[in-house]
Amino acid sequence: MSKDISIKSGANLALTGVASKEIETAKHSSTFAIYPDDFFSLIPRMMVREGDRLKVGTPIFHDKNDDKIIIVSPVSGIVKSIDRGDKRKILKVVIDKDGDDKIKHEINQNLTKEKIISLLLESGSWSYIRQRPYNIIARTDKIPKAIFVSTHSTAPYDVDYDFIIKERLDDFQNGVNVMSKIISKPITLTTSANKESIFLNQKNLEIINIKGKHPSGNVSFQINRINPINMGESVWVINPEDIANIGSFFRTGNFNPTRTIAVSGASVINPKYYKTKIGSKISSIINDSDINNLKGNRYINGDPLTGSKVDFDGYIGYYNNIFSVIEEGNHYRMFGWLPFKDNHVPSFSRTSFSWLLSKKKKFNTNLNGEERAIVVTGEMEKFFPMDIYPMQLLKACMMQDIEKMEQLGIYEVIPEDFGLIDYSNTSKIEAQEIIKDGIQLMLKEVE
Amino acid sequence: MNFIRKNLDKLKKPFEKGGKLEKFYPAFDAFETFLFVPNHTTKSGSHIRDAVDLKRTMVTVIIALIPALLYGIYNTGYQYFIQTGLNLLS
Repeated sequence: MSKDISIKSGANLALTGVASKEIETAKHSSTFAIYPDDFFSLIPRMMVREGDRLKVGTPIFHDKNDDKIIIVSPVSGIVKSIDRGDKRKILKVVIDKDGDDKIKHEINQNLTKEKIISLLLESGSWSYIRQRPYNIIARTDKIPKAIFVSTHSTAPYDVDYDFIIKERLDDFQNGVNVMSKIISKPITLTTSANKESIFLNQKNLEIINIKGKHPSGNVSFQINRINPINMGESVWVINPEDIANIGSFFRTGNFNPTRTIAVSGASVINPKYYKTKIGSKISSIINDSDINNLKGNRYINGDPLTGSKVDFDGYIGYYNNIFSVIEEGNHYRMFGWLPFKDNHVPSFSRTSFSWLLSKKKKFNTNLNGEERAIVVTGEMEKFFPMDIYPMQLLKACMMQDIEKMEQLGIYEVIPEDFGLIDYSNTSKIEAQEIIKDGIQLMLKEVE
Repeated sequence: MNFIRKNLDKLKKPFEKGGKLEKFYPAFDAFETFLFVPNHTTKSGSHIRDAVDLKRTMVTVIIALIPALLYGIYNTGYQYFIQTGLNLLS
């Protein structure tokens, strides 16, 4: 039986160019890359050198603080280059694909909790598991009190997980069975209340229907309502597709880096889903000819609110199911401060008639103003459905006041929860960056 | 619009970094942003932003003050005539 939860505040951003429900297998990518920046707060220590031969599942680097956490190669091939930036920081590891060799792990029928954990760690599938608080790759020494999987997607351009997993339900069930053995209880799966989910007949799941606008799809808000994190506790969060990848690993013994990407955006000629692998080259998925005005766009690994900027000749990120293309907005607009002028620019504010115009809106990357001091307008609370004061928390993070940050609930949030605040606030402050720095400070000082 | 923008770009040069009038950049910026929303794009965080900015928010404050202003004008006159006993209408 499923429970229902309704999350009231928030707002949906309807963008033009949502991916249509058709899946195409992406073309063969000749190079792949892993960005260490995709793993929050992980400091990579390389385990391979340029020119080394890799199989699917060969460790590329491990975490400096915990050498059991390894990131493995999604393809078989040769390490082409290890690109470094300032202070020799590793920006990306590029792999030339060659052959199809895989590292095979021995999977027994009788899996114990300890055996499952050691197999996940050895195979690199552990990197699919992220831990709250902090949204880092799960700590290896702590068993969580719950595992959350969210299929209720509300972010702009977000994917329909029912559509992606439909063909892989057996692997998904296998992954759920394995992961629920770790916590010895069912996994919490959240679904959208407004449609019939394909996961309702799956076993080992505690299904919770969520009703609400964005950001109700963000797992932080769901955890806060369903199973709040107290001091010293942790919760694991896994993407539905990664649960299927883990399930596939325990069926075959091979690390599975499958990633279904929804390529979306008003400039994309035929936005749709593509089946590919983690780290594949973006230009292998979409051609130049599939995009209008190739140079005048911003390419984003992730959704437009929380994703990270990437070049068109870059690579797909480790965790994202969305690849967005948004028009760059580096142009001037006259008298933008006049209310009810430029109603074509989308706004939640009642100083614009944009809410009367068409439902699906075209966005660009213009800041629509300049950064200013924070003014108390009460708008942040409107888009933050949690019992936390977002503005006070932001100010505490800016002040680096650890005690206040703890009291105001820094353990319960991650940067993506401030995506809508970033979008809507008048002062144009970088709320996500501030929270990110705050969490980094907590990790350094408290952990 | 293009004509004003071109002239503004010309005027802007001495106010930019290393220019003669660099000290007065904030004053120029205030004038420029009165005329135009800048062409700044998002650098980090959310890649898309709402049309509302602090200037527009503060304009709503001015609009909200107009009824109080009108009543203030009326009331000052009203009190003046009561106190002085003058009646211009009669």
